Amino acid sequence: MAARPSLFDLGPRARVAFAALWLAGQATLIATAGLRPEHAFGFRMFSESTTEVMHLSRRTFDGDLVSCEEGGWWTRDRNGARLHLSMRDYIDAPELSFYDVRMPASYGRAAELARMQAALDYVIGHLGDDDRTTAQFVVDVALRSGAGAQSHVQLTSRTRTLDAR
Amino acid sequence: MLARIRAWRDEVGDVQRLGLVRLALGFFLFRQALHDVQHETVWGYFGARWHLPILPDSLVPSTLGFACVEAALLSLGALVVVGIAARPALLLSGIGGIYLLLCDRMRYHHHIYTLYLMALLVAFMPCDRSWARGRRFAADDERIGPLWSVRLLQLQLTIIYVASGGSKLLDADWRSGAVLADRLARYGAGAIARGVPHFIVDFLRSPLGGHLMAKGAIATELGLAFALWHPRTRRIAAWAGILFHVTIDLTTGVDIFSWLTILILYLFASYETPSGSPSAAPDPPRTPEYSPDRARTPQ
Repeated sequence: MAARPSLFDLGPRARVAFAALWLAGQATLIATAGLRPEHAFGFRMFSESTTEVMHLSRRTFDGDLVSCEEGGWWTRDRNGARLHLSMRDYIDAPELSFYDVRMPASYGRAAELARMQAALDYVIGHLGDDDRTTAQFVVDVALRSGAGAQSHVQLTSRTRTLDAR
Repeated sequence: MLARIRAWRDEVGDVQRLGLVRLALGFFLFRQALHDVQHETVWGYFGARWHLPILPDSLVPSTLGFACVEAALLSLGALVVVGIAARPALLLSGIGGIYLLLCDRMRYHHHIYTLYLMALLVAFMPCDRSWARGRRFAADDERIGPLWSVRLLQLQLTIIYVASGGSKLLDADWRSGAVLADRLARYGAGAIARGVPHFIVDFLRSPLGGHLMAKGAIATELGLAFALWHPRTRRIAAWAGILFHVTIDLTTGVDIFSWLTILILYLFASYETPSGSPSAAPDPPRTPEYSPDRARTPQ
């Protein structure tokens, strides 16, 4: 019995076209990897060994900046009941939801900061009626590169209005 | 140059071992789909929680849609393993897997991306003639098939080595060994738990160890990219590459990436370099008069 025909047995011209498209795609994705914070599709393995310690604070509608312990805070809901919330209630990525402890910055410094910014904006937009006191999150990020260079970045979420859902 | 392209395009060879590669790849595809399901069962579907899509958010599937995609990926992985409709299953697995990666960049990892790229390329290999449908060996008249996609997969590994080694070479922190030494300082305990002797991990954690390891890793990645294509060094490079990836897997843990590259290095070890000198690999005699049309003719 001979090999059965298959749609995947490309003809000579299709093979060349497929390979050319494939290689052009790979070259483009690798050349543009720097434009993506985590350098996705660029095969930059173990590109950094950055670690971070984050500390969460929140700005209340009164204008006070209140420090939060380990990414959690007490607040009041719509009915005035006291409630404890945590970043971990909203974000499951450990490197973005564990505060006041050194964590690896997954896929490097730029990726971590971009992801953290997006996460803060998401959480502030999803507090809803559970939190009627928090207007904004402020996160202090202490970064240390694998080579030992230290830096500090402060990220702020967008500001929420009391009616925001 | 044109002659080389023609030689690549028309090359044929023994496809017996491609079945083994497909079988292993199918196992990894099934495992990845199962891992996704397990993760989402524990944490909830990522599309209903915080996620960072590369695609427009409107293209991220609903919970039901995601469940359907994952069910399909599990089924396709199983089909690839048993060799039933394996090539369409590989193509659909690759497309479906990359689609899910594009739905949430938090789920992006090099090894998962590599897995789906491999699925796309292996789909174009005659990989369903052996180790398929309960049959271990390909029939005699099915053993010879086109190898163009095998070469493309090998080239993909070369691209990975050049991209990875090149980015390290251009990074001063990486060249100095600081990045690797720091990484081992944090993950060395895992290496010891996997059986790597204490004194070796201690040495690798040191500045000198990190320095040597960084230089070695860059030289190995860039060296392999070229040595794997040279007829005289191909086989030794393939075995050196396998040793390199086993070492990485033992010391740092990179999930299935090492095993995926070892599958491709196996192809380097067992297929002679195109237009190179004959190797001692167990290739059957090649049949220059082979053509797909002839192979399709019922006997």
